[in-house]
Amino acid sequence: MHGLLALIPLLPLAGFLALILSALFSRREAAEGLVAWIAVGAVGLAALTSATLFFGHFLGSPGTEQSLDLGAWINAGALQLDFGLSADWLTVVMLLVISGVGFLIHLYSVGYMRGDGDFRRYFAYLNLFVAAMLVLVLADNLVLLYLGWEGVGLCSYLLIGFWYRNRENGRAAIKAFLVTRIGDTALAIGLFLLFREYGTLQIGELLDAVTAAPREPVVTLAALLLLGGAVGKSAQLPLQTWLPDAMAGPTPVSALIHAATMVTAGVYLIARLHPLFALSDLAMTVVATIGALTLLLAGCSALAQTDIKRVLAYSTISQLGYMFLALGVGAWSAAVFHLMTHAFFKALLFLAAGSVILSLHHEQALAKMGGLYRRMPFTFAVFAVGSACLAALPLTSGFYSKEAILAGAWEARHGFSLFWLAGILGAFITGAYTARLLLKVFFGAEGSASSHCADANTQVMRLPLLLLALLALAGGLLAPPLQEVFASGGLPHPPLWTIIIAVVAPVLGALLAWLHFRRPSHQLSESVLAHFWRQGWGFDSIYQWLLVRPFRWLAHLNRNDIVDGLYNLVAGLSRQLHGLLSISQNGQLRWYLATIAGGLVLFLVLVVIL
Amino acid sequence: MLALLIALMATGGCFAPLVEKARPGGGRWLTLAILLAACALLLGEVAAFSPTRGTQPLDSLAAPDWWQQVSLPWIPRFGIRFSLALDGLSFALLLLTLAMGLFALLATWSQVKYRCGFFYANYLWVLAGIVGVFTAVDLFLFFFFWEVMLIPMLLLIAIWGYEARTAAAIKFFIFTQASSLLMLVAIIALVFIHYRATGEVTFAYEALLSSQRSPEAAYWLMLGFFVAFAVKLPSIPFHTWLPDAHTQAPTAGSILLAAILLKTGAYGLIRFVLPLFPEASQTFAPVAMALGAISVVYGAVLAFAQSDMKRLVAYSSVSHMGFVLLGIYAFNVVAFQGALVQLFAHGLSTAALFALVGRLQHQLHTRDMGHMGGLWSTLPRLSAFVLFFAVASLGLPGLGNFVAEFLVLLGAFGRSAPLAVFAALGMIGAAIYALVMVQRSLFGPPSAQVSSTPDAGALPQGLTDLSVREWLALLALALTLVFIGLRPQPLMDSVAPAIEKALAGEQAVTSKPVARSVPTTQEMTINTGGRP
Repeated sequence: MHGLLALIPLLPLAGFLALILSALFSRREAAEGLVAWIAVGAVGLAALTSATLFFGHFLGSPGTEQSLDLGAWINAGALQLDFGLSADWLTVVMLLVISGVGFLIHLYSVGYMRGDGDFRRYFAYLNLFVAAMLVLVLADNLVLLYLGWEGVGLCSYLLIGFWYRNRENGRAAIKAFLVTRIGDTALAIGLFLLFREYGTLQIGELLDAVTAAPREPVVTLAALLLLGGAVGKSAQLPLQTWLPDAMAGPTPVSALIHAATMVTAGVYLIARLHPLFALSDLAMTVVATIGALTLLLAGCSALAQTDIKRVLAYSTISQLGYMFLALGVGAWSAAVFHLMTHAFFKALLFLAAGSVILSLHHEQALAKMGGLYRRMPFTFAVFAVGSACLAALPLTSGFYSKEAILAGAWEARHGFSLFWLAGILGAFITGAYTARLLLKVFFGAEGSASSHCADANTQVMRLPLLLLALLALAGGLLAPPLQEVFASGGLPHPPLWTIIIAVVAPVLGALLAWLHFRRPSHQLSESVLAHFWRQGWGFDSIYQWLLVRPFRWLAHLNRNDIVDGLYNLVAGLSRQLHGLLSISQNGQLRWYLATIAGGLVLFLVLVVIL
Repeated sequence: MLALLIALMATGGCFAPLVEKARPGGGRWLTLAILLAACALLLGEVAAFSPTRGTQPLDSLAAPDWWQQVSLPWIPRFGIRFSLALDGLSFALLLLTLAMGLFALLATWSQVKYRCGFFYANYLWVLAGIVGVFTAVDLFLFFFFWEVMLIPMLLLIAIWGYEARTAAAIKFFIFTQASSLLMLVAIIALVFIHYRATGEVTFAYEALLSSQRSPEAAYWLMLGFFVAFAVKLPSIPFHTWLPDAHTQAPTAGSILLAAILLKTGAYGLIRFVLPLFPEASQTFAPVAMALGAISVVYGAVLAFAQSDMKRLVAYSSVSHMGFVLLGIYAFNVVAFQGALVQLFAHGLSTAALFALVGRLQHQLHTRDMGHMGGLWSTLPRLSAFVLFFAVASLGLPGLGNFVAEFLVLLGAFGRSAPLAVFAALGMIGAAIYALVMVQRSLFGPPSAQVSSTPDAGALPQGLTDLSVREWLALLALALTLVFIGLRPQPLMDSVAPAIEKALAGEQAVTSKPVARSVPTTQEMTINTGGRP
């Protein structure tokens, strides 16, 4: 059973190596079929292994852990790091989501990327991503977690810029990597601090040490620094700006990395280190506040977007805000539950959007869509399922997880609180933008691109869509039993009327949006507010003016290195001096005689005076 | 054995022009043969000697336990001896030297077009000088080798360099020469002080280790050494020779400079400055750490501002070597280990980047990234390697550079949190310049330079993707980086005794303020077993 742990990340890694190294030994590109078998097979086997682990061990015994040591890594002074893997229920949930959803998206990609000249490179990156993500959740020390953390960041970078001929894609990729790297640096500093204070980076030992001897302000500071990393990776305020631009990547990539898995790494990190966060009220409040603000701001932005993928991107940021809100109020299980259901329905929405985009010949503008429900009924059906879950209509998976979060927010402050209100408002906005999206794409008058729509779904794309739709619908029944991991009490029981409000809010939002956006004459771009929201509340411009431009300007100003100027000054002075002295050596005898005489006089005068 | 190693390379250098004259193209084969023989010699000897290295003498303060040493009288009038010794640190650096020598040779196999014989002669002499620097345990001999490696390097830049080679070579020479004169003064003063105390004139490392100096004198002498090594490293504000020298040097020269020559500075700090002047180094540590941290960030910002790809890589070296300085002066094992791993990781990744840039310049006749772009579609293999080493350079976990930088920062944080946090900004800076380089050179539509032929598929005149020889050499480097990233322990274990020695003095300072007792000057054992 133990060996299986190692197998899970190593299988996709082997797939990556096979795909990448094949280029060195053969001049011809490998056939698409072979590439697909290797890549999809590797992730499929990893998913099977995870499932074996789940059914064979964890299903029966929720409180247990499995661990495996793959040998020493770094061993210097007080620092002892191993390649240690460990799995508890939280890990297993993540493993199943990553490898399961990952497998379905790989499968879908085979159809989506068919005929692309870089088919092999695409799947190599995708396999590497899955491997890194699995390492991230399996790691039993924070440095190994950081390895996976940076690894997924790299793959995200590579896949956003996958279509490299367009420089804009490369720019979006750099932005994504840099913004998350800022968070990662905070995370690294947090690790340094924890190591200095507690002398270990093993997750288990560290949490024991911290809870045994919590020292302020170290705990709060460390929690906030770690939160910096989580905020960057999970695209929360104030580092959320990279995610909408990250939509430059192929759509299945957006589904896998920028919706289902990588962006949830921040949620995972906080859930994994929840004893540390729970010790600091300040850190918890900050987490919840960031979550609530992000939830509302991104929700409003989603309402104003004109690009189908950007709507989904802002929606993802907003939903991640829900998870942070849940973490901040201590509803750990609810956060992870929502992480899971969100992975199902958001991956479904992205993949369905991918089918729409492919069928419209890479058209993403909402204005050119409309009336597609007749032309692509299957895609419409699965998209509608995803939308219902996203809006948290009763009995869908999204409903259960969102209810859990709202109940947690209610319980945390023993009644009404701003966090709960933000959750309800968020639900309202979610309903609104979901309805708007569904309306703009599938109903109403046909747009200019709708007329030449050719359903591009192949069997290999339909199957994952269907399975994800089923998961999204039934996911509510799969609430993972995480009480053991988070050592929390029973489920919260908020009063009935709060539940009714929570049910009504999204429906109300959807109805209002439906009525508002149904009239085709309505132009969103007229409103200043809509423009502001579409630009993501102006964060990009602020950063551009405050950080990017001054940095560029300074760097450009100093590109010839001011220190070098100093040395050049010395060199220049010597040259000048040399020039002056060589004037005196002009070969004229009378000049020499005159200077000798002058010097003699000067010397005598000096002697006399002194 | 060590003497034989140096003699082999030095005399081999003398023969290179003759062989080249007899048979054009023979010079590089001779160089290859000599380097391979040197590798075999080194590995063979160490395999024979290493079992004995487990035993450590109790009074380990004074005498580092050498794996092997040679000591012959050279100028007895002044107590100067030809003394070489080998320990784990030296061995690892020698291995790096020879491996990088081989790599640079293979990566630029047919790029040298004129005066080939003399080129390979200088090439071997530089390497011989570096081997001497890494093994000398007589301070005069050390200085001698320090100069020996300088002159051929100067010639490599001045004769085979690019457009502004003369200015760059002069700049390189003035910086290193001026600073090494300071070191010479410090060495002589050191010997003189020792002579006044004991009445014995000696340049021997171990004798000088145990002599006592007044704190003021020690501080000034320490500064003399420090400046020489900081110029070589290079650290702010002595770094400005490096971008010019790197950019103008021929590709093989750039590789040698980046991969090995810079390491002699760090080696000097570890081998001489810290053990000879423990108290003074301790006092100086905050300044040195600050210089290191500033180098990290300043180098990264400058690298970002460059449009010349080779200059960008050169400034990234300044940034990376700043981590070494920071790690060495943090005075704890974690950071120190990180600094040493950085020597190797930086050597490998930067050598590979210089090889790749040099190759691009060789074929595109430009280093300006504004004229590149879209290389990925025309030269996929080369681009993949550029991407790999750029990513290594920005410190991706799993590769050697990450282990190094993480350990340095982790250790330095314990000593000075603000400086470590400041240096950690270099992690962001590295990501900026590395990714901007990738973006500007590899991505985007193919530029005019890259696709001069209109028909797709055919490469423009003279532009070829990596040959088997080239990609095998690069792959070896890439795999070594992965290995260091995942299994740094062998490397870290081999340099661990040297670290203990370097830190032992500091611990003595911190634990007991009284100056340590002076053991009697130990007779150096002459190990004849390894000599020819």
